[in-house]
Amino acid sequence: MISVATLRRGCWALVGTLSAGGCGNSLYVGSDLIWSARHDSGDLAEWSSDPESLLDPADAANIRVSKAQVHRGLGALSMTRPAMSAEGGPAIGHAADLPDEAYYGAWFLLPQDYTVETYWTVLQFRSLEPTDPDISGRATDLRLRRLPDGRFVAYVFQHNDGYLQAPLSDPPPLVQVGRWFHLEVFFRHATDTTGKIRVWLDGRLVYDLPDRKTGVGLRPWFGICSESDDADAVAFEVLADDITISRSRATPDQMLDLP
Amino acid sequence: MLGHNVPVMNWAARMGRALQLVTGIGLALGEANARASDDGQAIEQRIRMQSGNLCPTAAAVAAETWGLTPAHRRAVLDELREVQIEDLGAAYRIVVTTAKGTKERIYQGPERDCEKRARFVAVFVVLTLMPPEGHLPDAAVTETPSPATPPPSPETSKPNLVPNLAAERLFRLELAAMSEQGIQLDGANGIRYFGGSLRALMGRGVFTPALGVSYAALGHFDTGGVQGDLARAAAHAGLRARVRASDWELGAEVDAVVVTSRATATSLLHPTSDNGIELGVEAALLVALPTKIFVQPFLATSVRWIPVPHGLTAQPRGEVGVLPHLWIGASAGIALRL
Repeated sequence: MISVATLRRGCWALVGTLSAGGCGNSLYVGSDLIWSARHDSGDLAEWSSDPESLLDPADAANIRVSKAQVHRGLGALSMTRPAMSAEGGPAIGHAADLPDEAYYGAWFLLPQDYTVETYWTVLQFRSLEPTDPDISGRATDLRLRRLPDGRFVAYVFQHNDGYLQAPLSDPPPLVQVGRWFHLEVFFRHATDTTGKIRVWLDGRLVYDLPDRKTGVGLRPWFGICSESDDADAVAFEVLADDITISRSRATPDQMLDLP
Repeated sequence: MLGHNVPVMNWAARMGRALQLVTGIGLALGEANARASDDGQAIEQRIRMQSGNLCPTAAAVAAETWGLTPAHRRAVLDELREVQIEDLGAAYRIVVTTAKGTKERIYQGPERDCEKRARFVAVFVVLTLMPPEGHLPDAAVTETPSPATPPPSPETSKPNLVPNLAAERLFRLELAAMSEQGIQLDGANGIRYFGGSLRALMGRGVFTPALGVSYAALGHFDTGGVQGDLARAAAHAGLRARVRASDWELGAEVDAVVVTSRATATSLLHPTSDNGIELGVEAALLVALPTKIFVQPFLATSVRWIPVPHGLTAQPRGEVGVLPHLWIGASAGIALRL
């Protein structure tokens, strides 16, 4: 029986003499990407083009591009929370030309099994130009909590007394140390209850949180971070790569290389 | 993509060939023919003249018939029951009755060359008894005079069964408006589009090579949340079989197809276009309405199979869909016989 692979090879051989257009290949019809960071240049140029990428300039000391472990390409973003006693950690983000709603995706790697006792935020949304100048603009975090067996569970935390931590989904969204995983969030920024949050882990919908206030300011800010409340002498490093903001979902077959 | 004339035997050519053949044989056997005058008289007795004018005469027709019949086939003359000849002045009617039925023709002969008429009646009788290819056509066609036996002018006796003059044309061009629907199959996405096609056929036989092109720019796809336009141009090369059934001309065609597609997204933030080539096979059925002029309307339906169709990709999602493997088409158009 002739297999599809055999047909495909034969087709390629025939068409190769006819055209460089290919046979049975995919036709690339366009892009819904709003912004992306792939770190192949070895620096943070993709981030630094936005003047609002670093809300705290001091974070720059703990943010770099690592070439040691990458998801794809030549580099990955490395975020290290230094050993510190105060709550927080470095964050880098993007806000330029963001619509009120979009899909935000990133590949993450936890390179080591850190004994995180509180939480570890790796992705967050904030609001810029807050309506109340006395609030921080923090809006929504995507956090990890370490389980006794060494795995981490992902959950949503909103800096809003009306929501706070969303109930864990069942089965719980688990991630493993040393393995790249993909988080994608549909985030509709709203200062009223028309906001919406949906989260996919490796293409599986794990949180669907509609009808809620998701912002406190005029514009959204999307960031990658390594924040925690652990008062420990250990530094936490998280790697992130192939970060996308798009008008349509990237998963499950994310394609960032042009055909 | 359709329609065709049934291949029609050139009656005049057959008569000419048969005449040459039997004439040669007849000359060779001329002496023996003379010795068989008694048998010629038997033929003459079965010839009935339907009018007072005797052009040709029964005797002349009998002699020509005997002479044209090969010696080893003369037993077939026993099947001849009656030959009626009616001299109409500028024309003459022949009715040949055999054990298998009756054949009738009317021929023009304004010059009243009785010897020529006798020879032509004899040819008609012999070919009725011994059809060149198993049967005699039901209708007369253009009589092409052969040098040896210049025939009378033809006249159609049964117009409804007479193949068109144009049916003998070597070239056929078909113009059609078409619609194709891609069938959702194996995860592919359905697509419909409209366009036109041009096809050329050359030949007169049952099997005719066919070449064609088609173009459709009015296709749209909606797959995986991505909408767009699809233009497709195809080149066909294949073989068509043509038959005549009842009052219709039917055709069946098998082609190899090369399809070039151009897809353009319309719903993405940064739309673009891309081209590609697919290979496939196509089968088509055609029905055409016989006409006497060089234009002939036709309808066709086709099925196309693309083993390895294109996928459609967009950033950042990747593959958003696949063009269909299976396409079903319909077309309507006219054929020009040149």
